[in-house]
Amino acid sequence: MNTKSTFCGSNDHRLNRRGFLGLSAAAGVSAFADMTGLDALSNSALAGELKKDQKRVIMLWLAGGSSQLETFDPKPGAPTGGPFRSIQTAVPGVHISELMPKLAARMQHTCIIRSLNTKNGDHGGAAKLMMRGRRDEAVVKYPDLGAVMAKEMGRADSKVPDYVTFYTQTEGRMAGDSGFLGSRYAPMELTTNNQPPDIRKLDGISELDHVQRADLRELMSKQFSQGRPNKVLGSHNEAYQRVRGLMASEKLFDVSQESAKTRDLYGRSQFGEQALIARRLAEAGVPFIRVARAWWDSHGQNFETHQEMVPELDHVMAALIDDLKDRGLLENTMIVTLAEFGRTPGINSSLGRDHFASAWSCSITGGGIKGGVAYGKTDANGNKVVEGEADAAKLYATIYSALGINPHKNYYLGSRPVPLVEPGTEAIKELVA
Amino acid sequence: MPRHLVLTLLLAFPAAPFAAEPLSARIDQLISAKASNAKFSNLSDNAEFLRRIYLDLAGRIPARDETARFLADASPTKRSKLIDDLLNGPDFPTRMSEQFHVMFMERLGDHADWSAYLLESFKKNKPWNQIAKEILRADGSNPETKGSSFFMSKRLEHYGQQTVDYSALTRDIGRLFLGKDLRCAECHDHLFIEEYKQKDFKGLFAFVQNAFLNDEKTAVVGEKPMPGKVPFMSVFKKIPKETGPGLPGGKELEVVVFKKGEEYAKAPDPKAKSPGQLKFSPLTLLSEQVPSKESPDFARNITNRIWFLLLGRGIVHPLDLHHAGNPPSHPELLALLADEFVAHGYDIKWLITEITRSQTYQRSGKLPEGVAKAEPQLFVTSLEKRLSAEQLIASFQTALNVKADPAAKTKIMKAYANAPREPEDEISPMLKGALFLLNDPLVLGWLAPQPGNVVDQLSKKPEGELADEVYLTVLSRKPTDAERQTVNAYVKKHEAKKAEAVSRLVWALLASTEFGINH
Repeated sequence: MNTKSTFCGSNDHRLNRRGFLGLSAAAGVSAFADMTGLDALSNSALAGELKKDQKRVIMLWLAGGSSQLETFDPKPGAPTGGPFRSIQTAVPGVHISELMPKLAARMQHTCIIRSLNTKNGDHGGAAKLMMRGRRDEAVVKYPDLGAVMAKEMGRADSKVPDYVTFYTQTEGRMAGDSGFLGSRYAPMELTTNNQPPDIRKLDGISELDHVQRADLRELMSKQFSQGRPNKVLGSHNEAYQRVRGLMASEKLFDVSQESAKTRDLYGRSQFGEQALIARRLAEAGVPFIRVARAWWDSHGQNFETHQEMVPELDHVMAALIDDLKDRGLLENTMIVTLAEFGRTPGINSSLGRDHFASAWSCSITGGGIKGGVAYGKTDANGNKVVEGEADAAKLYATIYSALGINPHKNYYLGSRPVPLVEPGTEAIKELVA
Repeated sequence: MPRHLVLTLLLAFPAAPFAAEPLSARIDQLISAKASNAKFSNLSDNAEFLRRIYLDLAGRIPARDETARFLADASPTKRSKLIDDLLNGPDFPTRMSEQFHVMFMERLGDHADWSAYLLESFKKNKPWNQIAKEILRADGSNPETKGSSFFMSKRLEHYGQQTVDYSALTRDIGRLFLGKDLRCAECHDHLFIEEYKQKDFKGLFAFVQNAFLNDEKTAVVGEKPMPGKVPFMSVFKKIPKETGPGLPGGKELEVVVFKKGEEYAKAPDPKAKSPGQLKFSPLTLLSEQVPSKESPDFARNITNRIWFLLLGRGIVHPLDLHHAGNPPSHPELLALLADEFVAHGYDIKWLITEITRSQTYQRSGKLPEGVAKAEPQLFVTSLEKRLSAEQLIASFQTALNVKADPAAKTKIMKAYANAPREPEDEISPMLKGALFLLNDPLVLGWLAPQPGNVVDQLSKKPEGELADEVYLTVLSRKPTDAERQTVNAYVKKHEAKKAEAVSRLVWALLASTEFGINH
């Protein structure tokens, strides 16, 4: 299909170059900037609607590729099925692996997509694809979901970061990437511990000192800005104001602020604690948090690996669902449980499963997605999709639609309109609440 | 631009009426002519000019004594003299090499030979057409210019499984040397910019598509023989076309194909890690075609970029979108600057002298009384400019009289430089930078009162001098009465711990908007 012609040539996207330049200069954005400003102007009612209920996403990233057969799409009894049984969930007719009893009991909140065919079985390329919903072009580096969320849901006056990513383990570690949206939407990366660098004031500096320094700085900057119309000067002060908020958010990254009961709910594992921090951040208004949990790449001993790791995932997902629900946050917070690909139905000689992108599963909970649905179907052995095939673009169109973001809206790269998802892709309607 | 158009331009805007005047005066006339009713800012005061010219030409703020001396100097020609002194001073080549590194490498990486090459080139005030020629030829065999190949070699690296990004290299040559971002013309004629054709992209691409990185460590670039023209096809109209190498809008060059085995003038030598020398070398052609008088884009691009570096905005802006739909704010001025630049042998130092001597450059950044707004493209007021990480490092060092070691420099770079491939062409909010200045032990360590350091010395000044000294040291100016009072009151309140109070004061000024930008 000639996808390019469907957007490059469209009359809707023709723009007055001078108009664009004028506006963007006024807003102080670079040639790389988008034109959401323009979008908002032409459709401000819609923009207001979107911002009204600030949606958030917590992505549980299963780096290495978890097995759909040991999680969301079990095939007990099939030659490819492996040793685990499937169990009935809270939703009649929907079965998942016995390794996930807690999620099974909460199935009414969750949807499963069993019909992903994403065609890329290479860790790096597939991870990029599944984090962005589309493939980079030679000339366009796309932003990932976190950067898009930061842009769509982040508020200029926010006191918290817009995009946080935990990636402590090294397997497949991939930095968050704001692509052409630029460093304004780049993530705060946490790779060594659960506290961001430089966010904590030095021990030698007292709180009083700290406040005094900030007040002095403001006092001494004030006079300078008088008579200088350049709006970007404000951005210097804005940076310090945001930092003040960020530093105040230091405690958000501190799980010891939570009760022992809550901490036990999530479990005292690294994954559990990071998920708990993710909840704390989402509650405080951070639009996107990714928690990566690696070592799923089970080319050998797939079943032992999953026997050990799936229950932890099950526990953390259940804790997140319960906790978000208790706090009234589940409606506006989406949990996406996703990997770069699934694993082969065929079991190899090391009792492992290899990379498999042509019939695998993911799960989405909350944040505008319809719960209690198992969408799509694979054949009896799980070799191919037989119903409701979805590629990465379709998955992302669905995620964006559920979040209230128009998947067909354009960003602008210089003068070139770049639609959020691959043109011609529609969301899975059955899954959008 | 075709040649006859150049002639037309020359006829339409003859240089004759101004001929006797220096370029700086002609700049001011053309800026005034366009400004019509807009009110100009006053000329900058001495301190404002001093800080600006130091940052622009020496890459750092003036030291306390340099400031005091300049402010006390009563000579009416002291500004011109300072411009000359700085241009011939030891910091100018460093400043230029750092700025050109940032502009041309866009934080992709660095190489010792490359920095040495740039530094040496600016020490010699090498003409721009020669520098560009050496960079585009990327010849690793010439020991004098071998560092020049890094522009090309870095872009010919491949990372992991990713292949070499020839499209990005093509684009960067178009953007950075000719001011034309042909991004959208790779797969079809540009849809919004009439004169950017797919053939332009492919013609430029043809020069570099056979280049390869011969040796990463030494940044030596080689070329494979060119088998023929580059075939291409629009994604819209599937008609096969082909082109030889050629500049955007320029003439297509003939491809000379030699018989197999006869392609090399000097055969490759794998043992010596030498890529050899082709008889028909597209890179050699590129290095001759781009920096030539036949290519008007070349001089317009660099004069526009130097104007941007000094004035904070290009005459064509964004810098890499020279085309009819995005005309220069001052077409005659850009033509004049480019023509004069070429006439003066592509002399960057000369061009900078003329621009910085103009009133346009020396205006204040404060709007005149009663004016709330100024259109930036009119240049009626001085525009604020971003400080590069390099300028910040040098300015921290000057203000605090410290020396940043390589680890400290890396830290500051990390906090203030853009991500790779993001041009540093605007002031952008610096969350990382703010966090760094607030909480990183590096600068806070420099500011802790220790015997003999700047904070210690300042805090020993008598009350009547303290405020002035702090301001001269950090902001390169004297404080206003109100600021003097603020400082004195603050220090008085913390009399018991005076050094700590001074340390906080200095920190607050370092973190202020005024210190963080070039104004």
